[in-house]
Amino acid sequence: MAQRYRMQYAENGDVLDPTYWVLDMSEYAGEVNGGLDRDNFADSTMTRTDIVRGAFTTVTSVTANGYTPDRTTIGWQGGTATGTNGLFSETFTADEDCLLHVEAAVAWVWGGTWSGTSLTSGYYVDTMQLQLLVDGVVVATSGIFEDFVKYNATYMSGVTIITAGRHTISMQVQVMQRNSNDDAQYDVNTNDVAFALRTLVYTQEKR
Amino acid sequence: MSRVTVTDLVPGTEATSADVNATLNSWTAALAAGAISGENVRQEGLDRRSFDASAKPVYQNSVFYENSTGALNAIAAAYTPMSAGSTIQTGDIAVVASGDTVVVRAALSFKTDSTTGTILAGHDVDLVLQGSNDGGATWSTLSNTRQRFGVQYIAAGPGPMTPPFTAYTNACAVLLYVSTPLAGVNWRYRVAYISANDAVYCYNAVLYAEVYAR
Repeated sequence: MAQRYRMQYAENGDVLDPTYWVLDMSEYAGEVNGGLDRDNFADSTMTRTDIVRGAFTTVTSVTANGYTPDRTTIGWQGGTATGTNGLFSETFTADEDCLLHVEAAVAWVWGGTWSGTSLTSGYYVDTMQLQLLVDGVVVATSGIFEDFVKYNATYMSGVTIITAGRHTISMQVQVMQRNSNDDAQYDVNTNDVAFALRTLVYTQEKR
Repeated sequence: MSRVTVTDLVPGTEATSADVNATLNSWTAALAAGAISGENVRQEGLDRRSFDASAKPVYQNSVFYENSTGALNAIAAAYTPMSAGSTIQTGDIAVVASGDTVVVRAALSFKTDSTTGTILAGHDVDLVLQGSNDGGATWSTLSNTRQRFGVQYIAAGPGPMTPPFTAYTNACAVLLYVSTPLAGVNWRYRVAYISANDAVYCYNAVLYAEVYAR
């Protein structure tokens, strides 16, 4: 705040009272010692070089290659490691409250040949679905992909507000069989899907 | 952070010149050239009006192509620039300083259309991002951007869920790339493809790069 008030204005012949001298000095010192703000700066005078890197935005990227989910596992999996043991699991510390933008591009290939089988209701195909989580909360979910398309890829993007402190971003996959009625079932004969190159980018937008 | 320390003067005691000068010297040091730093500024004390437009942290260079009938991209055995009517490529992007982060995103939809009716094994289309820092004279493939698309090889399909036998893919690809290049280097980016068996039709594409400087 640019407004500061002198406690005493000395006139000729006055006896200088040190109390007011110190108070006057302290009034101004308080401004410089961490009290400067927009009132002290002319408009549009802060340029890029005045701003420390990362003050507004912090971008972090992680890449991985390889990972084959366990087809005997029921439910979501792959969110506990990054690399050949999982899709993504990244923990970071946010300096302050911010908007977190999480995005990921993921490629995969189905193993073997199409393995649709006649089970309880029509013919089932092997499918998988991905989801992106921040601190265990889903922020993005992919569509359902089947193994007709041997090589495929997708992109997911989600945004959430986070507080300062440690946070974890993870990606999970669920392998299922589905039929034309969109009935889903678990079957250990589900074809293997192997994940290939993938990139996770998370952007902390602080200002 | 530069800091001013006010030396206390107590009524009734003798004030020496050293006491007064100590305070004034502290002011001199605190206000010396380059001494004022961000910590002298109150937290949340600045707002939008304080910043010059150049302080904006994100710089973009984007291109957008739309082609409702699809632009023909011929069979290519090695990485070849992809076109959706025009080559999917950015202009030069000046990186302001070392440590700036560049994020490149490309999204495009396309199909391959078999003219022979043969069943393809493996992938039909292989996509990557490429970068050039010499005005487009030489290009290198950017790591971790490869995405492949292709139908499953089917020997025989049972019943009503018979999967497609023609080599036809209609997909939307998003290539994502993050890098921290050297200062002062002008990079440009493009989408490249391999399609060893069939032509590729690209319908529309968006490619853009962002520089996060601050």
